[in-house]
Formats: sequence, C-alpha cells, structure tokens
Amino acid sequence: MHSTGRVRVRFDAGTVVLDGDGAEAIGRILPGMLWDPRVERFRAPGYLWPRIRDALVRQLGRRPDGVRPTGQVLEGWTVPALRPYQESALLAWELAGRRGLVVLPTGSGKTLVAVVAMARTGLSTLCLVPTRVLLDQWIGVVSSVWSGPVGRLGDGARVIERVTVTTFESAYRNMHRLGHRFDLLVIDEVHHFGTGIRDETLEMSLAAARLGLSATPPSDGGAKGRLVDLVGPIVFQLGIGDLAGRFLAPFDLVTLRIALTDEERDAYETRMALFREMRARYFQLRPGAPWETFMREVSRTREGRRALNAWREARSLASYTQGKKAALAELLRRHGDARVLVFTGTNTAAYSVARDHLIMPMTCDIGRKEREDVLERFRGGRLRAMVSAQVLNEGVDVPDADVAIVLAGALGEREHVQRVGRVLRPAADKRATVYELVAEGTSEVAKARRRKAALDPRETAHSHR
Amino acid sequence: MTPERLPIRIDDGRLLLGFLGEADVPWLRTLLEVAEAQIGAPWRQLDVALAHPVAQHVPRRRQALAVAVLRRLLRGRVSSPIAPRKVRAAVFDRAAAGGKRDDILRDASLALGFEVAIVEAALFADLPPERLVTCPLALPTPHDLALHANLLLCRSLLACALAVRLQLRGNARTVVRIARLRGLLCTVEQRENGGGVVLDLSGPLSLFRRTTMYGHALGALIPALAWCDAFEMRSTLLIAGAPVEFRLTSGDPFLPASEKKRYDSAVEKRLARDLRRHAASWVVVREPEPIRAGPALIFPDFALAHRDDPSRRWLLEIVGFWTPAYLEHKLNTYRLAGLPSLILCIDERLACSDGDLPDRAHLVRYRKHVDVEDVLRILDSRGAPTGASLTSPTGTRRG
Repeated sequence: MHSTGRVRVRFDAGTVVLDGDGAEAIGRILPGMLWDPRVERFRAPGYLWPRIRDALVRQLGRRPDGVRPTGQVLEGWTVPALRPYQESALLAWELAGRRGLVVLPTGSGKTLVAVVAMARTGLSTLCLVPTRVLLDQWIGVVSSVWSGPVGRLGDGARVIERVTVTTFESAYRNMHRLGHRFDLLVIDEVHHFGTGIRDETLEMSLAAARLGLSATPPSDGGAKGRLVDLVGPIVFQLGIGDLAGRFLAPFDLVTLRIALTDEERDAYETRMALFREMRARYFQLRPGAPWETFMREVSRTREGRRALNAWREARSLASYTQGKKAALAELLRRHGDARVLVFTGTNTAAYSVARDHLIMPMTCDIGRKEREDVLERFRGGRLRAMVSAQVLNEGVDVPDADVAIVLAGALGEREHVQRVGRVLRPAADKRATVYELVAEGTSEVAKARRRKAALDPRETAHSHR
Repeated sequence: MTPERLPIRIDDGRLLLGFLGEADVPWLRTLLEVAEAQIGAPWRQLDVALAHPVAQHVPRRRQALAVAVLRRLLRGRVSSPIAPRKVRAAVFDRAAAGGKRDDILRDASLALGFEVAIVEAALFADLPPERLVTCPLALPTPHDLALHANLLLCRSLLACALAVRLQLRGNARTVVRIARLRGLLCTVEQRENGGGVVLDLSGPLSLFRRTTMYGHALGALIPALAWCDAFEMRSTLLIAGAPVEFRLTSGDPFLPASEKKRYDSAVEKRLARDLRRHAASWVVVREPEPIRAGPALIFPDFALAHRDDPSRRWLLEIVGFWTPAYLEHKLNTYRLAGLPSLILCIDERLACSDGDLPDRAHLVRYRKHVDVEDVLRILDSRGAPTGASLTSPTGTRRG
C-alpha cells in the first residue's frame, strides 16, 4: 500500500480501491471510481488505473506512488534488428502512447515486434498467448533475447518473473492476483478478446502499456470498440498483399474442385434436403433472422435437431470425400520433396488423413513434448508432412513449410488467412503453393469464394506477386 | 455444462429446474447398464452408445446431464504393448522417405519388432477416443446418480451467476470461509431472533459490469450448504444475455457434501497438534467465531489465551497467497476491530510480490509447516492484550 497524501491506493483482486481519510472526497471525482457499499470504499476496475493515477497527480499536485513499487527498467536484452515495416509498426505504437494493435500477416514477425517493444521499454511484461503450444514458443523466443529468467504460467506451471508468458486461460484465472505486477501487456492473437468472453482478463490488469498482435483484427463494431478501450486502436496494419514477394514468400493459390461419387452425392443431397426444408420454413416465418438465432431456435425441437444433425453430417461428408482422398494422395506424391501442411475441419478428419496417408497429426491430443519433438523433426526434414485441424492455425512457428493443402475449414475466413500464412515464411527462391480442395456442388464452393476474398480483398488474381 | 443443454425451463424470468428424481430411476438404471457394458471398450464406442436415448421417452437434456456425470466418473486407459508415441515416430519418419503405405508399415513393424496389425492399432491408441473405458470406483446407484446429476445441474447454473444471496442457519462460518478463499466479497447481516445470517456474495468486478467470472467460485459453495441446518439461496443468472432468477433451498435434492473436513490444510492440522503438545500454558481455541471489523468479517484460525493471565490474548491466522500490501491491509482490518495482537503465519513460497513487509507485524515465516517454537516466542513476548473476547459472537462490533 502506498500513500498519496492521506489517500492510499490498493490493488484488490483486479481492481483499485481507495483507502484513507481523504478517500471519500477524492474518490467521487476520479474517473471510473464507484462507491462499493460491500467494503465501504471507492473502487475502479484495474485497467483504469493509469487514468486514475493521472487524475490523482492533477488533484494532489504530485505523482502518486501507485499501487505497487515502481517498476525498474529491465536490462539484459539483446535487441534484434527489425525489418523496416516492423520498425514502423513499433514507432506507430510508441507514438500512440504505447497502446494499440499491430496488425501484420502471419509469418511477418509480429512476435519480434513485441520482443523489441519489451526490450526498448524495459518494462515488466506479461505476454498472453492463446494456447499451450504458443506458451512454449514465446518462452523460447523471449529467452533467446533476454538474459533474465522468463516466467511461465499455464500448462501446469506457475513461475512468475518480471517477464512472464501465460496462456489466456491461466491469465483469466490469475489476473486478480497478478494484475498489479506488470507494466506492459503483450496480447498475441488479440482478436480473441473484445467479444465479452474473458475480457475481464484485460480489465483486471493495471498495465498502462498494452500491445495487441493480430493478423485478423475483428471487423464488427462492438468488438473493435471494446478492444480500443482495453488495448487501444489499430496503430499499424499491413496485409499479405503488402508483403508477399519481398518480406513474405510469393505464393500461388490453387482451387481444385473435386466431384463427389454418386453415393456421396446421394448421401449429401438426402441430408441437405432435410436441412434446406427446415431452413426454408424457418426463414419464411422469420425473414432476415440472424443465423445464430436460427440455429438456437431450430435446435429446440426434435425435428429441428434432426435437420441440424443432417446438415452437420453433410458438411462432414463433403470435408473428406473419396475424391479429396485421392487428390491429396496425388498432391503428396507430386510434392514429395516439399514440406507440406494439411488442414482439415475436425480432429476426426485429421486422424483419418493421418491413418490413410501416414502423416503426423498435430492436434490438442498430442502431448507437449511430442509436439516439440515433431516440430523439430519437421524442421530437420525427418518429417515431411503434418496434418492439423486447429493447432497449426494460429501463431505456431512452423518451420519452412512450402505447401499447404486445405481440405476443409470450420472457422471461416479468418482461419483461412492464418493457415495460408503458415507457408509464407520467406526463403531464397521460395514460392509457396496453397491448394484448396473444394467439394463440387456443395456449400464448400461459396465458402471457398469468401475465403479467397478475405485473403486479400485488393487482389482477385490467384497468383500473389 | 452450458444452460442450453440443461433440463431447465424459464418462465417469466424465473428458472424452473428439472431435478432428476424417483421417476428417472428406471432409465438411469438402463443408462448405468449401458455404461457398464462398455467398460473395457474404446471411449468412442461409449460415446456412440450414449449419444442416443437409452430408453423410450427419456428427455434428451436429462440424459445428457446424467451422461456428463458418468463421464466424470469414468477414466481412460491406454492399452498397447508398445508406446504409441514410439510407433508414430517410427511410422511417420519412414513415410517421409516416400513409398507405399503397406511397405512403410511393414518396415516400421520390422524395426519395432511387432506385427503390422499391432503397430497399426498402436498408432493412435493413446488418443482420448481410443483409450479403453475404465471405472476406478464402483458405479453409483441410480438414486446416487440422480443426486450427482442434480448437483452438477446447480453448479452449472451458478457458473452463470452474477451474484448470490444466501440465508443460512448454522455453519455460516464454513460457507464464508470458502467464499473468501475463492476471492468472493461477502457482506453479512445477522438476523434477529435466530433468523440466521444473510450473506451477499459477489466479486470485486461485479460492481462495474454484469460478469459471470465468479460463477465457478459461487458454484463451489453449493456442497458446503449441505452442512447448514437450513438455507435459502437466491441468485441472478445471466442466461442468453437475460437475467433469470434462480432459487435453491434446503429440501432440494442435490448431493450432500462429504463430511466436513476438520482442518483447512495440513499446516493448520499440524500446528493445532503442536500447540496442544507444546503450549500447555495457553488455552487454544481453534476456529473461534468470526469477528466483525467494519463491513468485513475476520476469521482467525486460532485464538490463544494465557491460563494464568487471561488478559494475554492472541489471534493467529495462517495466510495463503500474500503480498506486503495484503498483509498490511489484514493488519489494519484487525486494528479496526480493536484486535492488535495478531500473529500471521506466512508461507515463504506463496509470496506474490516483492517489497518490505509491514512494520509492527508479528510474522512467522514458514515452509511446509509452522514451527511452534516461533509462535511460542511471540506468545511469550507479552504482547498487548487483544481487548476482545476470544469467543466473541458473530456480528459483535469491537472498537
């Protein structure tokens, strides 16, 4: 607890609380402070601390000590060199008051931007990453440029240091205890926030400096506005088209339309007919209703559930057909010398591909040590292909893959952009290839069209640089 | 489980629960038989067997609730004569060199010393759907399964809770302690004429937004309610973005908690034993009644009074995760209540930040267990009397 005149400010489980004789008078005029009758104190959510601190300075004429010891500048960094666009991104973030989102395509070195931000500011930092796989990866990157110990929170570990990496889930569960210990938050794949789910994680931190990283920032107004509040606005943005050819490998996007067998077609149409009938009946009664409402309301009846199950079965059927299986075998044969990533819609499909083509699956079921070992073998060339539904979508530093084969997707355009980025790590004379296998005459055709548009709205050609 | 999968109905903003009961016993018995028949089979087979109604007219959500309980009771066992990870490395590394599938598997099986069929079966034998179903404990009876399911129903609902109001008679201390250990804010109102205690429970951030982040902590209180003589719980849940009223009372059929633990931790248990052995000149009261300090309640672990000089009184608290600011705040709270003679035992491994420890504090640092000699040294130092009765009843204000 630190004194500010007679007013003392205390961190309390993700919030700041005013104590002391003058607290009631000054609490009324501080931004975001509310009277909490449960403890008979003024209280504000943690993320408003910088504004409260500044207001206290204005009111009291001196800088308050804050709710924790002043963070010393961390030394011992080996600052890596940045590419020009990374320097620009960092400068934009600095000019924005060390708050905001840097939007760069997958493979363009967002992590490096963050690490240099940590090094140049010297602030105690909490890095939030979405998965356990990324936890290891970030710890590896930070450890390679900082001589101090790097904390790990998540995946069974609870070691807190001045620079700590944590999963979103562990951060959510522990921020009420840790929110006052860091001056900088780095949030990887920041688009996961802003929709209400787990936003409290960012609310409970007192860190004034915040850097969000994403290749695919949210486009809807609500999430965007919330991120501005919690992290800051987009301060720098480049797309794949801006970097492909120079800083990212150029690539070809090849869409292969694969016919269903007669049996598959019959099975697909039978199921879709059930679904289409239900959909038509629903939207006749509720024209313009949102898709989520349709799904929720339809699932309340036995008939509706049967229709939705039929729809899911039809999609599953189209995601890995006989034709796709044969095409995949041919593509693997044709690219026998390349390092290949295969993407499926579900883990079940990933295991089917793994069995059929003897490709190593990378799923959440594979343990940490084995995942590390697999990536190392892939890097060294002992493995030539991996298949994944989601684990390889985001952030994972996949070494030098040249070919991506997308059999199906479950999460839309954002997922596709991230998957393509997996093969764009630049190398001398490298030209990547992305194959998209689309089941002809199914709902996949329209989805593929949307995915292509999302990949680079400014380009419609299939060849990039 | 999410609310849309639970057997509930919302009527005019009020929640109606579909507790499982006597009428469900026949199909619950069938469900248990189906599950028992799958013990030793892969989990994917169990999933298929439980995916459809086990008998005619079984409500889908009621079965899903019972299945969720069963899934928590069952476990998975890897059954393979050779480590699947080793098989994967052998097979997929060979596949990198190219070749036909059968040839690759044959090569790998030769290298591993097992038949091709065994190698292929072992390839993913450790993945959750391929593990074999086991049951470490006996399966519950249909009646017990219903009670377990009802408890899960209540806890799942409270995961969506914004706040909870509890009216309790008897054993409020345990409920409040659990609430505080879970980081909840708790305001207490003592009702007159044996009306019990009213607790309002929520979290710090609840002041600013409708948050369900304390829902799991609130749900953890439910088993402890079974230790109260009587209770009524009212809660506002946030379901599909709308507030819904949820009420639970003593008579509702959810699983009673197991017998209350005598000690919160092994540290407390050992210190109690050591104080009994080595502090013979002190009257040791474990878990004295809570003491009100302003709007807060204080829960010391021990109260100690000297046998020959009752004015020498101490309170002792074993602290979990701590920071210097937290300790300072705790000391202030005790001072507010007019209870200055406090010993805080702090686990050196659970410090959450650096910084100077508060002055004037009687601190006993420990690792693994509290050394009773450290405590006795402070007790014998003739500190100031507390000025409070060691058995002061709940709600007594001291100033």
